Order: sequence, then C-alpha cells, then structure tokens
Amino acid sequence: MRAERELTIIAQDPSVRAGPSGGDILTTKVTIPYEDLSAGPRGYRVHVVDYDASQRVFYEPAELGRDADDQFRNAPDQTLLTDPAFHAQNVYAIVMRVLCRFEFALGRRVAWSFRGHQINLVPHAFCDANACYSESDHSIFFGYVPTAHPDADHPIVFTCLSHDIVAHEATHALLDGLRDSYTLPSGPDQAGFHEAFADIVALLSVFGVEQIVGRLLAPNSAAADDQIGKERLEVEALKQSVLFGLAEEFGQEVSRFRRSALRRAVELPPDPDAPEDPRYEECHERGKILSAAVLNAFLEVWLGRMKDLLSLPGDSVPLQRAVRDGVAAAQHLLTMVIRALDYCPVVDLHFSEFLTALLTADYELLPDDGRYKYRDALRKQFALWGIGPPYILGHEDAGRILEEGIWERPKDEEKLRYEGIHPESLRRDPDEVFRFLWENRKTLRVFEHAHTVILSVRPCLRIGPDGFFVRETVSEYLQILDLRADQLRELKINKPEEMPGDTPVRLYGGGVLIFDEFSRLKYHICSRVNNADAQGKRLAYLWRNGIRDSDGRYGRSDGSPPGQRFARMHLRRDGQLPKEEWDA
Amino acid sequence: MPETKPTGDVRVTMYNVGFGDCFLLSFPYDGDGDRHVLIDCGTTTEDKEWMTKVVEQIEKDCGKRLDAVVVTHRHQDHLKTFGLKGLGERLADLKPKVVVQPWTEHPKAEAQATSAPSVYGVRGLAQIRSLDAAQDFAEQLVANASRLLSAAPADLAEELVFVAEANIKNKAAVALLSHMGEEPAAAAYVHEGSESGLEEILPGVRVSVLGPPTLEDTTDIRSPADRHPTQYWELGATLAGAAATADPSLPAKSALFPGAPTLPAASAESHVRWVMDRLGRAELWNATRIVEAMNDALNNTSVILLFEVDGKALLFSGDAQWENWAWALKAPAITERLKATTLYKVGHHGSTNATPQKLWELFENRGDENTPNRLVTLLSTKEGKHHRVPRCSLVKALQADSTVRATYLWEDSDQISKTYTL
Repeated sequence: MRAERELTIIAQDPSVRAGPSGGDILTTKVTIPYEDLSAGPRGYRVHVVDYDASQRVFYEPAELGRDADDQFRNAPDQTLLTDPAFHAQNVYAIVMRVLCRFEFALGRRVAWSFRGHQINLVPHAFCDANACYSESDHSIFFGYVPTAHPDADHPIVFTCLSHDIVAHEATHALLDGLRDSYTLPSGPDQAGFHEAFADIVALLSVFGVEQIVGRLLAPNSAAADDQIGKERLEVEALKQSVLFGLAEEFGQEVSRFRRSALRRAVELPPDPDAPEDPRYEECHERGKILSAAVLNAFLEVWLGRMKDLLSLPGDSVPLQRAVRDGVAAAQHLLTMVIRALDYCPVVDLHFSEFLTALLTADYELLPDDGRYKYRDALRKQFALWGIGPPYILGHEDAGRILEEGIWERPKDEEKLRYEGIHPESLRRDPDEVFRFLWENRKTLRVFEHAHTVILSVRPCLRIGPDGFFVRETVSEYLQILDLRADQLRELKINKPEEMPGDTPVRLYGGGVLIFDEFSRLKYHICSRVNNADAQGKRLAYLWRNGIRDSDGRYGRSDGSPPGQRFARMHLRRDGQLPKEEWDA
Repeated sequence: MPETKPTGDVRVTMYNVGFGDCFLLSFPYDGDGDRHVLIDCGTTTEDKEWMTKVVEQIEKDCGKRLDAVVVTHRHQDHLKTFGLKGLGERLADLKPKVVVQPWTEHPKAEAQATSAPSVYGVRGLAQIRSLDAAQDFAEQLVANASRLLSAAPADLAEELVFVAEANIKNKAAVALLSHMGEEPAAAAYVHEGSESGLEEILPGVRVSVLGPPTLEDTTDIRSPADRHPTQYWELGATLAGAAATADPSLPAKSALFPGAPTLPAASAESHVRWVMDRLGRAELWNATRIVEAMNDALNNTSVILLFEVDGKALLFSGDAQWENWAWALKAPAITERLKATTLYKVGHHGSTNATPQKLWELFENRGDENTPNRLVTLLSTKEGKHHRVPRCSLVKALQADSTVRATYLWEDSDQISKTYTL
C-alpha cells in the first residue's frame, strides 16, 4: 500500500504556458497522502460534488482510482480544459495540499468550522466570475465565465483551474475552522486579515512550486543547468520578475482584481503612518499592508539564503539553486504564517499581534532565528509599515512582550493555581480548561461578568527544521457581553458620540491559553472584553462604517445573509456591490 | 410656431401607477393654452384595467394632445403602458411632437448594428449590446419563474422574479416609441449637455439635460457591461433556458462539456442532494445580484432633466443612480443651479442610492414647514415590492425637510391622480 499519491495539477492557471512563447499549459505534480478514495473524488476531508446549478447538470463523479495512478499525467491541454474529471482532480489535489500544509505547520488535524469532516468542493457551481467559501453550505463553490477574448484557447474560464484561487478559498475555509471568530465585526485589522491571510497563503503556496518560480525568474530558460545573471537576483529585480511577474500571469477574466491587488501590495511604498491613515481603513486596503510586509520579507529571506551563492566569483549562478532557495524560503515562511495562528488572540486581532504571533511561533521551534534570519526580516518589513510589537502601539493590555517581539510568559505565573486540575485532562477536556480559567480568573485578569466558553482544546506535536519536538496544548476561550450603548460607561468604554443610548451592542473578548508539555500555562494571549480603549475603538469603527446586523445591532454581524459572507467580501473587493447611501 | 411666453406657472400631475412613474407637466402659455409633457408611463404592479383608467385621465388632463413624451429609460415601470395593446396606441394618438429618450435607445446604435453614432463610440455600442443581451438573460429568468419561486428563500426568489420582470424587453413599447412622434425627425436621444429636444415645444422654459453621461464622460455607468461582457449574458441565457427544461429524473446534457457523462440529479445520494439544494440557494443570490446589477445599469441610462421657469426649478431624474448623478454633481455650474431646485422627483422610487446625499444637501429650499418656497418632493412608489423601497431614512429626511407628495401615502388608494400647481 502506498503512503502517497502524486497528482497532476495546473501550476498556476491555464494561461500560463510551459514555453517562453506559448506551448502547453504549465502543469506540475503534487504529492498528497494516499487515501482510499470514493468516486467524486470523495476522501476523508474533501468531497467533490460536480453539480452545476446554472444549467442543473450533475456530472458523473470522477474516479481517481485506487491504485494511486495519475490518470492525467502528460494529458493534452484539450483534456485538461474539457474533462470535468480533471477539474475535480485539480480542486481535490490543491485543497488537500493546502490542508496538509496547515496540518504539518500546526502539528495536528485541522477541523472545518462546521459540524462535519468533509468539505464539499463544487468545481462548476454556477456561471459567475466568483469563487467563494460558504461556511453554512459546508462548501467551496467555484464559478465559471465565458472569456471575452476571442483568441482564447477555450471559450470558458474556470476558477477551479486557478491554483491561486483554489488555494485562496481553501485558506478561507481552514482559517474559519481555526478561528471562526475572525469573521465577527471588529476593527479594520481583523476585517482585512481574512482576505490578506488567504492571499498570503495562496501566494506562498504558488511560490512553493518550482516550475512557477523557475519560469518567473527566467522565462526564456529551457534547460535545468542554465545560469542566471546575478543582477537579476537583486531585490528590485526579484520584485519585478517574481511578484509583478506572477501578477501578470493571473488570468485576465477571473483574477484581474486579484492581479491588481497583488500589484498594488507590492507597489505600495511603505508608510509608517498607514495604520492610523483613514485611507487604509477599508478592509481590502488594510489587508494590503499585511500582504506587502510578508511578501517583501519573503524576498529578503530569499536573498539572504542566496548570500553565499552570490558572493562566489562570476556574473551568474545556477538557476536551479536560486529556484530552490526561493521555494524553501516560501515554504518556511508559509509554515510560520500558519503556525502563528495558534499564537494570535481569538478576537479583535491587530496586525501587531499577528507579527508577535509570527515571531513567537518561530521562536518556539528555532530559538536562535537560524541562519536565514526570518524573524529579522519580518520585524524589519512590518516596522516599515509602522507595525511593531503591540506595546509600541499601546496595546500593552494584550499581553507581555519580550524585547525581540515575542509574547512573554504570563504575569504572576507563580500565583497560578493548579490544585485539583488534572494535567492529562487539561490536554483534551474543555471543562477542565474552564476550571483552570475560572480558578485563575483574578491572576489572569479574566472579566468574570461576561459569558465565557472554551472553544477548543487542541494537543499539538510540532517538529522544527532542526529536529526538535515541541509538545503543546492550545486552548481558546471566548467571552460575550451584550449591553445597551448607554451601559458602556459602566465599563469606562466610550460610546460613539451619536449612537443612540438604546442601541444594542455586543462586546467580544477571549484568549488563547498555551500549555507546555507538563500542562503548565506558557502563554496567555488575550483581548479583554473590558478593555475600554480597544472596545471603544472597535465600536467607533463599526459605527463610522455602519457595520451592523439587519436588526440594527452593533458588534454581532455585518448583516450578510447566511452563506454569503465570503461571496460578499469578494464582491466588495471587486467593486461589484452597489453603493448604499440611505438605510432601509 | 408663433411667439409665445410661459406664464411662469407649472402644474404637475402625478398618476398612481403603483410601483412605477407617470407624470404630466403642464406649462400654461399666455394666450396659447397649455403645453403638456408626459414623463414616463409604466408600472410593474398594476393591471391593464387600472392603467386604462390612468390613460383616460391623461387624455382628459392634456386635452387629448401631448406636446412631448419623455421616457427616461427602458424599464417596465417607466414604459410598460406604451407596449400594452390598445393603450400604447391611445397614447400615440395624443400626437406628441417630440419623444425624448436616452442616447442608449438611439436606433442607429441598436444591438445588432455594426456602427454607432460617433458621439457614443465603440464603447457605447458595446454597452448597448451588453444591455440588450442582459435583457435576454432576464427574459430567460422570467421564463424560469415557476422553478425559481419554488426555491428557498422564497422572498429572495420573489424579488429576483420581480426585478427580472422589470428588465425584460418590451419590444412593443420600444417599437411604438421609436415612431411615436408626429414626424419621424421628432425623436431626441439625449445625453448630459445635449439639447433636450424640447426647446421649440417649451419656449421660455430652460430645459437642461444633466444625464445620462456617455461612456466618453465616465465609465462608472458601465457596470455590469464591463464586468459581464455580451458573451456572459448569452451563455447565461442559454444555461437558464436549459435549466428551465431540465428533468431531474434524466441525465442532462452539459452545454459546457457536451460529451461529458452526466447523471440524473434525482439519482444523487441524500448528502449530495443537500449540497445541490444549498447550491441552488447560492445561485439564487448570484442571479439576484446579477439581475440587480443589470437593473442598476439600465437605471443609469435614465434621462435627468431640469426644467427652469420663472424662478422655479423642477428636477426629474427617472431612476438615475449614484453613478449617473456623479457626472452632473462634478460640474460646479450644474450644482450651482441645482441648489435652487423647488420640485424634486425622488429618484428610483426612493431607493438607497438614487438620491445622492450630496445632491440632497445641495437643495437650499429644504427646511421645516415654515420655510418659504419649501421644496416639494414627489415619490411614486409602492411599499414592499423591491429592495425595501422606499428607504426609511430617506423618507424620514424627505418628510423632515420637504413637502412630500407620495402616491403610496394617498388616503384614497383608488385615486388615479393628483395635480399640484407651483
């Protein structure tokens, strides 16, 4: 029995060709765990349902076979474009690849946000230039549109054939499984985070494909032993060839908005005042700050990895080595980005906290920042955007931070009570964790008058690149406080000036408890439900931007209909929702 | 035409057409009777019997003689009556001398034409083609109405069908309007800044065209034509047609992959049928959004006219939405004149973005009941039909700062019309 299955996917999208001036569609092979697939394919985490609602056609479920053979190895372009079974394989393989990256980085299984184990992937869902994850439908829907280009090879553009789009949507689904509270109304950082995080994971995932990086670095190169000029491996040159290059490769019809978003994220001149600038308050603009910082850090680390290579005499270096360094940098950074989620607060996330989470996650596995200084690069790139560890921005209440920007152990940890708490039970039982939290509410400064619930208890086993094992248990709790606006003053929270006193408002708080292998609390990363400054800012943002549910309540939801939240987020990004001036 | 002067009075007659628009402007002239301009005559809620009464009333009010007809855009709630058998002809018999329509209705720029009048350019032609194909798509949705209405959520499906119905082509009305004028040359296809075509009909009244802009002016009005090219609507119509006749007990043939093996939808296992059902809802949301985008695009072809006479300024904007207005509101010379508006026909039956707040704030005659020369606003609408129209916050603002004349608030719902003299 094989442990792995190798499947052909389209490397980016069908417009990206293997040769410098055309040629076949550029494909690649990905390796995912072997599983006994049913028709669909339908595996232990993913079920491809090929039903087209626009024309009410149900395609025969694809059989990828039990023998792990790749049916589409070396398939002609025509087959890749016109065989729905290949489309089913493409979405299955890419989503499984992203899922495996998450599980590798987090050291545990990652659940979807809904009750169920298999997410539905619908590769030809409807005729629309959109692809979206829908949590209430337990699905990711991929649309298709006719091309407007008469010279295109195929009259239809399929979003299910774009590596970047499939990985982006899979990331939304996985992030929602890990932190479903990140879709709650918060401030501009959290609003921009889902989209930016999905972009970053999708891009680093694409940069983890050697064929893509090779093609972007040296579009005219054909042979594996080719050399590349050193002048093309400088920061600006890499930015042009790799980041802009990929933006250019995004398909015209369905990725054009993503293309301009990527272009803009790279083009944006760093601005330390951006976090306070109203121009960056809109969620997609905000998200570009995060994308820009991480993508530039990626280039910096890549260059750092090639330092010894570039110091050798001569004007050029082996292309393959440069490609491999790029792929390795992308993969390491991708692991860091995903792992950071465990060290982020549960609600009201700020980019500064994400940076601290990134640094902490990496520090836990590689205390000395290794040879390639990933953490230095991230600190530097975030600082260019005015984002430093939280205490610099006045969020000192969120947690304590060491000099190098990582979370510190809990204040007064010697006062924490473990009497009566069973260490083994603390690794898996939400009630045990709640008991720990309640017993220690004063030491941990947890507001006891809010409804408090343990969301998850997740034991993890992570392996660092140097072979070290790190065992941890990650547990999350959420706090909810429903008030009228005029009750805010009791918590010293400023009510938005013009908000009527009887307006219902909801405050969220919560935290992550990270226990070490002895079930001792190592980190407590929280957003306090009674943090007057943070809650006041959040409500001011929601009020200013009219973010409320359909009953006019603030803080609960943005009013999107069930299942439409992510679809609407994309439509807003693409400027496809009408401007609203008068309320209903 | 003999030299004659307007008295300076204006009568505005508002007809109760449910969800739709129909207004008659009557300008008395010294010793020369009244000149009558009919602005729109459509509905998406009332039946032919009711509309017959409306036409009879128009005939009475204008003395069986119209001087001009303005059809702001080609939605059913603005032109349906022109296409109703018998009623269209009765309106044509009123022998208007001029029929004013937006540039997008120019017969030389028809969807199938190979060239467009130069002022509209190639982009304009593409816009018109796309709108035309979009209307075919709406037609297929309406043909599909019974299936859609059986889907959940029901209120969403109802709204989708309502909007799609307003967007289907009314070929009879379009044909009638294209040859309705007294002479063939009397059709005016207008855009912002162009002549209105009413200059000779209404001497002494300044009539300015403030919209729609052309695509040379702005691309804001282009949605969804730009995002959804003609091919999109054509494929959409084909698929919707196929879906309408698909039998779930048989394997359906795919228009995307003609040779691909398919299964009867009804044969799927229960979990897959659940996904199909959920997907049907998601598709309903998509279709609603797309039809609304198309609805917005047609609304944005609305003619905006400003009539100025003797210190009075009457603003009629059809269903122009924010993107159409944006062009006029950029021009200081126009915004200066808009400040003096004395009567405003509320755009798009009171929807969310057809009365830009920037426009509303310009009106200097807004104010409480004691305001001299207080702004009059006309709101022709029916509640609960579309998109929570009219918008509560807009109605509140209108009631606070203007004298509101609203058909849906008339005490006697059987009343056909009311006339207001300014």
